[in-house]
Amino acid sequence: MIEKKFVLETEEGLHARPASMLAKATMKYKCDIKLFKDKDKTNAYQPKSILSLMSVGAGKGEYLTFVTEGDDEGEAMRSIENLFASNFQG
Amino acid sequence: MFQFMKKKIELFAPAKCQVIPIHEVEDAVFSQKVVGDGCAILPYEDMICSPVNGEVTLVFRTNHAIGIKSEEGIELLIHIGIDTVELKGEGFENQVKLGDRVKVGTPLSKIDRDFITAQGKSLQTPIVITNDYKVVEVEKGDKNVGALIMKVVQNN
Repeated sequence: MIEKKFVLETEEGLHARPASMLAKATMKYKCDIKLFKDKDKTNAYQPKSILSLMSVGAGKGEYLTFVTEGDDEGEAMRSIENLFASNFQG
Repeated sequence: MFQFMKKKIELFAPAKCQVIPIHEVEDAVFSQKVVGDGCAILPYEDMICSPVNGEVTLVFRTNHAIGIKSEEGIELLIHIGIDTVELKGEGFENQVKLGDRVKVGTPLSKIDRDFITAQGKSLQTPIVITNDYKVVEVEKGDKNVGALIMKVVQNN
């Protein structure tokens, strides 16, 4: 299991474009991926679903924690890191 | 698999509107189908209704985007207007909340078209499927609320 926290820097927050990019990137992996908003571990969002990602309602400057678990958990986390590193410009 | 033949799922006009092909939408995120395949409508009235029977799975924090999971399993995003996230909720009056069951024609959002237009935003409203379905038919042109606008089938 890998857990990493990122800060969201997109102007519009986790809206249609960044949510779509995250869903497309994570859908390729078999591992289980969860997303938590800030420190709230009670509500797990599904990064492979655009609608679930948009329902996080995360704005610019908010923290998002991703957890990947399964065979390709490393690759999956790297693809998430790449999106945040490029600020979803890719 | 569970399905022996691909059932065509029908979606219906959420308002009296003009139906526009997705590739003609003014926002590249939608026209290039980044979010998903679908179509867009240009509403001629303020009440935006559900195009399917299903459950509300998303009301975006600024109210301009609504997600519905249809009873057939399609995940639908209705994004009212272009770049309307910038209006921070003004101009949109939600008629539903998360978890509500809706039917074709159930009011989702009452919008203030004059206000949105006055803010320089387009009223083009993409209706896209965000999970694994493809559009097989779009009925272009002017439609009355409840008229057939699109048919989709499951991929694979």
